[in-house]
Amino acid sequence: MWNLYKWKLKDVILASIISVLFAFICFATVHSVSFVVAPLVMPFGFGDIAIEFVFGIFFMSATLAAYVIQKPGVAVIVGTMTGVVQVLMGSAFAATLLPSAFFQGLGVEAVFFATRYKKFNLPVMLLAAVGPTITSFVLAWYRGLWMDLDFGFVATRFVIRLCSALLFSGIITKLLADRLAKVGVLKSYPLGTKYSQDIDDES
Amino acid sequence: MSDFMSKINPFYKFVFIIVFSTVITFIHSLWLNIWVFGGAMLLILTGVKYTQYMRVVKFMLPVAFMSFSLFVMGLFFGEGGGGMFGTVTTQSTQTGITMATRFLSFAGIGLVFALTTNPYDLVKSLRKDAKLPRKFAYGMLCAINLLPHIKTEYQNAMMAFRVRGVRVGPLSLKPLFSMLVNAFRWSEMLSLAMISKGFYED
Repeated sequence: MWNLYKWKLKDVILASIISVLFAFICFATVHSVSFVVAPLVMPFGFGDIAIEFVFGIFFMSATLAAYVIQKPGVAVIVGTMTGVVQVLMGSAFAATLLPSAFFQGLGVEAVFFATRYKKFNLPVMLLAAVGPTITSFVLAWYRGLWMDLDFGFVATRFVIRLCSALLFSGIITKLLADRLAKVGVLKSYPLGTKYSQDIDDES
Repeated sequence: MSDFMSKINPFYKFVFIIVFSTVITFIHSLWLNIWVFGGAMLLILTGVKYTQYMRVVKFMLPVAFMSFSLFVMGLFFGEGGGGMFGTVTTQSTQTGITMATRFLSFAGIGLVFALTTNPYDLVKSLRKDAKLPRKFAYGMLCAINLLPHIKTEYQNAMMAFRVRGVRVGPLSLKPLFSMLVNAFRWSEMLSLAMISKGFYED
């Protein structure tokens, strides 16, 4: 079931392209936030919190790939690959990025694993946004020494990150993938089969 | 000076970075952060070509921003700090300094890796030393080589929207959608092309 050799070449290339595409988006997001937004709110001590509003973007690659390909292991691999590609593109946040990318993929994977890769409706997708939020937050808690911070401040961060994850990774990803399926580019994937018409059908 | 860091096996370097950054995630010490950052800077000064120094500066700018904003955050919201523009105590200052140096140390490690690793060599080394399936190695290379095309594709999509008079904001999903459609097409075309040229799936 977890055998990597059972993937089709097409799936592998699709997973790689999705991770490269989203690595590009994440790269642009991180750098625009840390250059443009963070300096504006820095004097108030909110410089690091600015990234939380768009944190859901980082989960999108793993969720989208898992939603489309629907195979075990997709989320972890695509999540990790997104991080690796960002490092190779020259992200300044490389060493923090690699473990977090892996943990985010793991969070998405855990949710889909709990449903045995059978159910892919809206509640499951929302849960798949909550999973990486928790794993990435726990990792960042240890790494960023947030236990030394004010508890209310950290709780606010968590709420903002959760809202962002639900919006970007839960809702927007599902909308995008469903629209892609309707357009008809997903006919060879499990997600697109319900839109592909059989010639034996009456209607 | 000499670029001896580029000659180390990329896969072992990759594993070392991951293990090392995971280990120091759980060690909270100000002096460790400073030593790690100093070590990384020393490696960059001695083990990276002169021509890369401009890239180092480009890397360090956002890092410096983030590190300073972390310091301010620790100063105001650290234990003992009094919220925004509140009282600043010795303890909260210490928290701020620790957080800032910690971020710097992580950035230093990553910088060493990013400056001295070529994507092609990393994939080659993953295939050779990590026994990654051929499919994955070549699939990743495919996607990495598509990177410039993704840029042109994005510009094309934006141009097409402008010709049709569709207003596209910076946060709009429309260009992303058209790029995703292309990604699916590419993945099918590329896999067909690879198989027809004699690529075998092991």
